Amino acid sequence: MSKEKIKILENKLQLEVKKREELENVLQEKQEEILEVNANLSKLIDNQTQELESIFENIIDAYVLMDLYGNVLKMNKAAIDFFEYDCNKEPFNVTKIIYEKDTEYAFDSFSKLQTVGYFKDYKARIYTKSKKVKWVQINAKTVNDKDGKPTFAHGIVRDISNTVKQNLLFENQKKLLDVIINNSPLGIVLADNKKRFIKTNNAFQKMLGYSEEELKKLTITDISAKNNNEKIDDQFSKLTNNELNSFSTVKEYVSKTNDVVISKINISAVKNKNSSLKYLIGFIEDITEESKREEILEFLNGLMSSILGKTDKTEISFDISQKIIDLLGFDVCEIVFYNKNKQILNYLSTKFGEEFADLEDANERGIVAIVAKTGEPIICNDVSKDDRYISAYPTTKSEITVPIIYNDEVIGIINGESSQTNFFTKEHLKTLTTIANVIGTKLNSAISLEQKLNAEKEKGNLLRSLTKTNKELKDFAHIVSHDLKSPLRSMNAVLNWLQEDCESFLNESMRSQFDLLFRKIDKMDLLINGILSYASVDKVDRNVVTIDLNTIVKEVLEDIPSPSDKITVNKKTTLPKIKGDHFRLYQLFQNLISNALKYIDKEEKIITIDCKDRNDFWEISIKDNGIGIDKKYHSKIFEVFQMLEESDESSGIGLSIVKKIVNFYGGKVWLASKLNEGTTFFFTLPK
Amino acid sequence: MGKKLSLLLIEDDEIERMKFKRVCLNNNLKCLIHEAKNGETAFEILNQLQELPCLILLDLNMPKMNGLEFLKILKEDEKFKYIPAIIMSSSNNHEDIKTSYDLGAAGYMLKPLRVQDYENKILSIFNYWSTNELVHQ
Repeated sequence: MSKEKIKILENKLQLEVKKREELENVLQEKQEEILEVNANLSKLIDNQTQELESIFENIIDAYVLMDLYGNVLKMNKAAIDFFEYDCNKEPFNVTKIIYEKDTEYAFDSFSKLQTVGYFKDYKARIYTKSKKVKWVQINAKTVNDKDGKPTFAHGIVRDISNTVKQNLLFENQKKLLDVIINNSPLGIVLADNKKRFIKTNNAFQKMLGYSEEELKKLTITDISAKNNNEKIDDQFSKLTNNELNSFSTVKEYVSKTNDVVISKINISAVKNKNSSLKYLIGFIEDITEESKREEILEFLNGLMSSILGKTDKTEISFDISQKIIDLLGFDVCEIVFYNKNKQILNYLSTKFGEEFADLEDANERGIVAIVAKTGEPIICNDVSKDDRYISAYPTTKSEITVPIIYNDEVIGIINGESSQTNFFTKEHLKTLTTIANVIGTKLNSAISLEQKLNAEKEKGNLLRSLTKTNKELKDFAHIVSHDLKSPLRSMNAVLNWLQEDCESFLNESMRSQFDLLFRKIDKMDLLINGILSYASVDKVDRNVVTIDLNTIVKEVLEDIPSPSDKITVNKKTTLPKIKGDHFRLYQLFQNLISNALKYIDKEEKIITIDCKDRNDFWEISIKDNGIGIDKKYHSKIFEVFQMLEESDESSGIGLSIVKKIVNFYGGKVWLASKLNEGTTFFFTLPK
Repeated sequence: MGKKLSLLLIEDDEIERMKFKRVCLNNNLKCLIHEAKNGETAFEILNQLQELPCLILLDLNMPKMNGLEFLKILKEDEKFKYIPAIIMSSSNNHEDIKTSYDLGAAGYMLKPLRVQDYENKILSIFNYWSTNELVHQ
């Protein structure tokens, strides 16, 4: 190696050393600088830490500083009070006080702290030293060391036990309220000020058949029936205009299936702070059933008052059937009367607004006949598929038949028909059964009345015909006797003149023949008078008064023409007073007494009159001491024109009249007799 | 007996009329007898007569216009209604008797069967009505 080269190398080395010395000096300078800065920095940090410490010492909320393993390094007074631990006196690790159920959540949050550097709004439960469970809300953040590496974590702990409790309470109450709302039989809805549904409860959804989601897309107007009146709209606008806080009314809604739901509603307004309408709260009670019942009740009331004054079953039936059609919308409604004895069905139908009446044999087939016999109602949803149905109206597709039962007997049927299949429901059946129950009594009395009227009509006819016959008979007797009497009188007159004119020629035998003729004329007159009085016994209306039979007997005895004989009349007892008419009672006694006198052949004529009380009747007897009557004639003597002896003085009608009068009063007449000893006539008269 | 009694006898039966006249004749009754066979003829006679009869004797059972019908019209007539009319009938029917008196009959005589009884009754009628001052025009 050359000196020069060495020299160069030596120079170069010297330069390098010098350079390095320079650099080292700079480095020294820099290091000193850095140290200074570092010292300043730590001083700053220390200052900041102190500052922070004083802040945290002074904050009310609990504050903890811990290492990343949960060991608490520092905690303020509030934290000590809260946790009941003091990290200055004992080791305190936050992971040890986690409420078991929150462990997972707690460690998730912890790892988040480690990876992300913070967590916020951690809410969980912890145990205090005295094992109290407390709800805490924690916001935590890591603290990095000088190299920016997380070293510590600190956090602010809030006791939210009360808040959570309140929240829980609130939740519970909300749940309770939801339970109440959802189980409420009332529909409850919340709607906004545009009447859009916000919340609805089960009852309301069920009422209208919509789900809650479906309802949320609808408004109150959408589900309201079109016929709702302006008054309700008016009320709504008053609510909106703040003129009204709430109102109640009855309103019709339309369900999803297009059924009308009648409801009693109460709508209240919830106002904003500025008094404008915020929400509508509605309580809706489905009164469809109730109003249906009310409607039926009203219907029944109307029906009853309508048929109350009516007695004619036809009129009543048409009234009922027309009203049922109006109420239930049947096409045909028939009230059918069932006569069980005659097996007749009497149809009184109202169909398509017209009335028809028809009779049918109940032995025929047919649903009505079956119901009449069984007493069980039938609903026939499709008559074309029912063998029992006999077509009466071509348009009929379905039929409902309900028996009208009175005293366990089917007296009739309500039959409804519709031109729609499946028209009749259980509700219809219920309604018709109710109607049938209500009208049963009325119809029964109408039937009875009709029967009675028919019977009365028959009776009336009979009576009229009887009256006519009687009058004819009376007129006949009257006319006959007059027409017979006149010639008799004439005969008597002419015979008289003949006798007068021939007086000078007459011998004894001729005179007796004249006498005979006169007697026969007299007899004829007697007969005619007899017929007349016999005919008038039950034909003539007389005043019915209380009559003393003693007076009658007295009168009869006074009127007896032949006082020459010795007559004794004994009255064993005082005769009663009875209700009757003088004419007949006089005739009765007159005929019996004169009959008795006529047949007494003894010198001393004794008549004995007696009377016995036979409860409902008086039994009167008239006894004579006459010739007596043979038993075989006992019944015959009461017949008209029956005489046991030929006599010019007797018409043969007297006893017939007696019998007729006694029968007229509802009594009996009979006799007891012994030949040659006498006869006793008995008769009874009602008291 | 008083003055001559003028009578109108309304009777369809010939023998009855004969009987009446015979009673008058036999008893020398001063009377003027107008006879009518029925109600219609009776009115014709009444309308023709200058002087109205003092008494009408009226049978009830007659063809055409019967006694009651005649009596009714008579009593409604302004001119004739004051003439007393005595019914002579064989009817003892209560209804007939009542109707007769209702219509204004002056008496009701039941025709007896026997001539003698008849004569007695006619005589008593004569006695009564002869002494009675009657309405004259």
